[in-house]
Amino acid sequence: MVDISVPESLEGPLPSAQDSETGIYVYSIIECPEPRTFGKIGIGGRGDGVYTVHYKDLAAVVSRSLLVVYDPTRENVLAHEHVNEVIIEEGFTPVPMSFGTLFKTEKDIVEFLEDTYDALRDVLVKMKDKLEFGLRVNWAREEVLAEIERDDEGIRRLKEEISKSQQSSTYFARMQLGRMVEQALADKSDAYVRDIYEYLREAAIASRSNKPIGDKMIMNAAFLVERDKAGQFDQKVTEIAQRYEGKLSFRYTGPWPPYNFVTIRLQLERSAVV
Amino acid sequence: MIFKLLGAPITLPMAGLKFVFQQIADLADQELNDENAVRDQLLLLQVQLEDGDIDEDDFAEQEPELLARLRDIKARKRAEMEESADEELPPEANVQARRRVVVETPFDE
Repeated sequence: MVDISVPESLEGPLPSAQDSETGIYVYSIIECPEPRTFGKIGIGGRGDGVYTVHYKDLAAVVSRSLLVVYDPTRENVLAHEHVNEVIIEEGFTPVPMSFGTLFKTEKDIVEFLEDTYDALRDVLVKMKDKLEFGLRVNWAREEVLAEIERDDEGIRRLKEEISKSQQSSTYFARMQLGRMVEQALADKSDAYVRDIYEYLREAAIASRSNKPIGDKMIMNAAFLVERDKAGQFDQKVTEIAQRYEGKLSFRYTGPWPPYNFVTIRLQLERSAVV
Repeated sequence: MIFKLLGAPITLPMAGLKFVFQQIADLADQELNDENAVRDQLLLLQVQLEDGDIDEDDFAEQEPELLARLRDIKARKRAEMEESADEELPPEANVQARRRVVVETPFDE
């Protein structure tokens, strides 16, 4: 982690009608010595052109924008991501800025690049020709449950006992059955996730596991992959998805900039804090 | 029938009821305060749209509600911290303030 101070860009109080002013939105940092444009795809729905602001061999990919707080709506997030997608298609490896990052002027951006140059260079070298792929896996819980009830000796026997017995003691047996089934489901889920990681590991440089979203999802991961190994990684994902067809469904996305492996964000400086 | 209606409040386990109300209050409070809970719900909404569990209309209806709650939570947090006027904007959009850059690579860890 590297902290670098950015000089104050402007003195004075915050203007009240901030949204009538324009600033510059920054999507990511790339290595690029020559000015480039990437089309009229800027965030904010005004069709602002996306272009580069330079310091030495580094460039910030930017567009003009109103000085507003961008809500993380689907529309805004997709606009931000789309710009980075286009940059990747053009062969660059962007290091992404946090969503919603604005500067007042191009001069402020050049200062930011200058002050953060060493840290940005380090990160760009580290991330050179590396891309991120997302993999979310949902399971068909009912299918897995049916499999457990078929294959798990203990569960099957207990189930039979309960169905034969007419006594009130089945209440406790049912409780126990419930616990055993829950445990077996959790074990299955862990085993699937482990197997998938194991299978994909050799084709990736690194992985990060994020919290699954909702109760159908058992895996929510990001993989960092060499650009020239992306085809191989694709292939492996296809293979593992085939292995689990009917039980697990795979949602595979990318290539992304390494959102899960690098972040550049701005923090307010608090002069009072020592 | 009448006996049952009259009897109900007395026979209800009061301690249990109080506990339930307390839990509801705690939950409401926590949900209101918990920015992460709302963010999780936004993510879930997105996933549900992508998985086809909800359609664009459902999404368009629910997203603004969640975003409004997110804004409320943030506004209240800032009010609680009694921040000054130039700190009312999130750092990403606060072009006037002194900002520092943090580069993180969780990749290393």
